[in-house]
Amino acid sequence: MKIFRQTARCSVTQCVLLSLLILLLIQPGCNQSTREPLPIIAPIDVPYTFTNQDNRPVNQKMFDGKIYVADFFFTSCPTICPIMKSQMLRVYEKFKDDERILLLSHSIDPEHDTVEVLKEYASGLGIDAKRWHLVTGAKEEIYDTAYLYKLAAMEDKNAPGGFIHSGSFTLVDPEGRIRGYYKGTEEEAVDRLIDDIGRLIDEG
Amino acid sequence: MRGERLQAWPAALLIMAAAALLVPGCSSDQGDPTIYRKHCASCHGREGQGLRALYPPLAGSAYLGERLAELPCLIANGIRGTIVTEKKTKNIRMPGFSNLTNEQMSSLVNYLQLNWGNAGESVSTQTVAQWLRSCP
Repeated sequence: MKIFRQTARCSVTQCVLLSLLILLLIQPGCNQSTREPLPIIAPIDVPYTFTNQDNRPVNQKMFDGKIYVADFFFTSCPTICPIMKSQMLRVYEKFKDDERILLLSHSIDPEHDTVEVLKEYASGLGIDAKRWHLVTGAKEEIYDTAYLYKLAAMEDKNAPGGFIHSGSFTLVDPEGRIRGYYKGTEEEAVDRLIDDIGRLIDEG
Repeated sequence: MRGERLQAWPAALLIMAAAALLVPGCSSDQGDPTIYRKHCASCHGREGQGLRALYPPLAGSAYLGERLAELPCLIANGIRGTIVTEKKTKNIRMPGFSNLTNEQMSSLVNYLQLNWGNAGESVSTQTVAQWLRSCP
């Protein structure tokens, strides 16, 4: 009987430890499996061809099968653009070695932001055009592209720098579908964007 | 009576010295971060760290100390063209902030001079106003 009690005590301890171990092993898996897939917001298909900082054409076909993040800015913007670019740099640094991920920034001031200006800006940021395209083009086409992404962009002589535009980053999946919008001026929102890019990678 | 008056002098001087330290004189202004954060931080960073080679850092910048008398005009009128620092010559385009009052400008200049490890000099509002009157 005594031997039985000793054996039973040992078994209880072992069972508790084993259960804890199993819980620890299962928990990360549970978290991942309970995460909802990102919503499919809308398809995006831009019919225009723009020019990047390396004077190369950039069109929608180049983004087929890629996860990419798009935004709108202008190089002489004195307000939110530098903050957006410092946040986009975090995304760039995180995924610059992953050829499945691209970044696309459209200038809404194409008259000033020529290829040469974009080249100098890209050089200041220390970015590679293979991963992060800064593009310029016909003004109406860029503004129409902002409309297709459902983002605001317009000229306003009373605004600092002469333009008003959304500070959002748009996440697009490999099938060309918008999957999320993120405030490009907020570190926490961009943390979420980086996490959501990981979720799209996991979708395969 | 004369002796009492003589004894009162050291006390009066002490009170005047204490008052001089307590009165918020412009020359001891450490600067207000509000103006910096509103007008400058988006490019130069909240802590003056800059953004890579795109926007120059202001923290630990020798340029700010060396060009103290030029700063108010640079801030008010902006920069378009080349700027020579201790490390390199760089093409810069910075908007001007001519709407700042003399008080705001001196507060901003002092904030730049006396924070983030910058060991510059503090300047009075009157001096800044004088420099602004003789901008090129």
